[in-house]
Amino acid sequence: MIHIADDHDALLDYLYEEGDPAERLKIATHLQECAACSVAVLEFQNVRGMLGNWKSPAGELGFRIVQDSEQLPSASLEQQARGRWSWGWAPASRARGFAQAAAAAVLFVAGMAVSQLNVDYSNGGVRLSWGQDLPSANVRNASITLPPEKGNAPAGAPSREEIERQILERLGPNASPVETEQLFQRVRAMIDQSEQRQQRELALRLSQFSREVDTQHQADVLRIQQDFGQQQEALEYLVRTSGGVK
Amino acid sequence: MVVAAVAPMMRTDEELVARSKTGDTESFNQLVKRWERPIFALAYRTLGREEDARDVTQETFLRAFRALAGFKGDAKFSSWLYRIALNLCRDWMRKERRAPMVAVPEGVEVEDLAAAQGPTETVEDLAARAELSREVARAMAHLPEEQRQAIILKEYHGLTFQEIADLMRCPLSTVKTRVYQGLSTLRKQLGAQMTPRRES
Repeated sequence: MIHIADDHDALLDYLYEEGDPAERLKIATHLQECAACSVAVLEFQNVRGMLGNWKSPAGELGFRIVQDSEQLPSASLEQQARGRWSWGWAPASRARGFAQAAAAAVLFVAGMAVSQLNVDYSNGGVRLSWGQDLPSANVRNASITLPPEKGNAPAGAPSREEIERQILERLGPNASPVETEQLFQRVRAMIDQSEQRQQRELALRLSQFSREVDTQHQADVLRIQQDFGQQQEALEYLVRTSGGVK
Repeated sequence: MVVAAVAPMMRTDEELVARSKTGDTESFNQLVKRWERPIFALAYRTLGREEDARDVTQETFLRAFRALAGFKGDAKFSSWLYRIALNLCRDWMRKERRAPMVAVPEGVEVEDLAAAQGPTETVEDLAARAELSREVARAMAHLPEEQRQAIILKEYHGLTFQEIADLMRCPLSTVKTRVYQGLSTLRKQLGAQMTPRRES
């Protein structure tokens, strides 16, 4: 029989219990007689045992597609993908409610400045959506990626029409129509860029805040669980000791 | 004859995919619920950062949702998701031009391990396990990308060699070579930590 220390395929099939069972049985028999192969198998098994210690975080995810109620139920998937929908948080637990409420409060304030943002508290969860095409989802909980929208100037800022009127006044009646139009186009582009930049910054800030709330929430839950565990231990101790007295 | 209604969680992936294609977003959410944890674990172990893994997980489902109409069902839905996630991880690493983060692996704190292990282990045992977890994360991060992904899919997701080969679009023998070479490297790097495997 070939040494499986030199036969990688056979070694892997044996380690992961794949391949022909009859072959694995032969290998098992061989291992009882061959120290070199036994050591090789044992070392690989140890590596696998160590890999088992690497856990991924156990925090809750709760990603969820949320369909706006205005969408026709019979709409096709393709239509929905083009329509109004967003990611939101599922109503996971009461403990998470506080963090959601805090995040929603901030998002509500942000929504005052960005008229396309909708916040919905239905079904115990928080839902955010926009009447736009699918947003880029590079930011966690993509619902806070705000698409650019013309005419979305913050409250108090001059409107586009007002800016254009002021430019016309400064240029005077003798300005060439072509130059005027070119100037308008440049100004419009600058306004668009400015609005997009503001919206990106807002999305980034909201994303950071959401993460901080999440982290704090996880820490709080952990603390509560630890406190609860200690109290339970104390209670069990009291029960045991009271039982002992009897 | 009585026909019981099938609870959403009892439906197969294929059934949920079919319903999702007709516009049933709740069915797609069932798929998300079913697969978000494995996809997140895959992204986390590939990228090494919880926040990045969350972003990739979300993007994976977002892309799947958008492309679902074009999913023909030739492969399993989970395989399709894994492939999207792996591609996104690869793009992310190329975009960031860096290896996976390993300096402070998350999810390996003593408190987490204690919660998972129960009261039978001492604090020293738990601390040693946390340290071992960090060592594993560090060693894995030093593996070439293909070897690391093959080992992750094999060890943590239980895919067969053939499934991994299909997923990574490479021959079966290549996958086995990657896993073998990766495990051999890990054996050397983690050699000092090795003790005989304890069977519970």
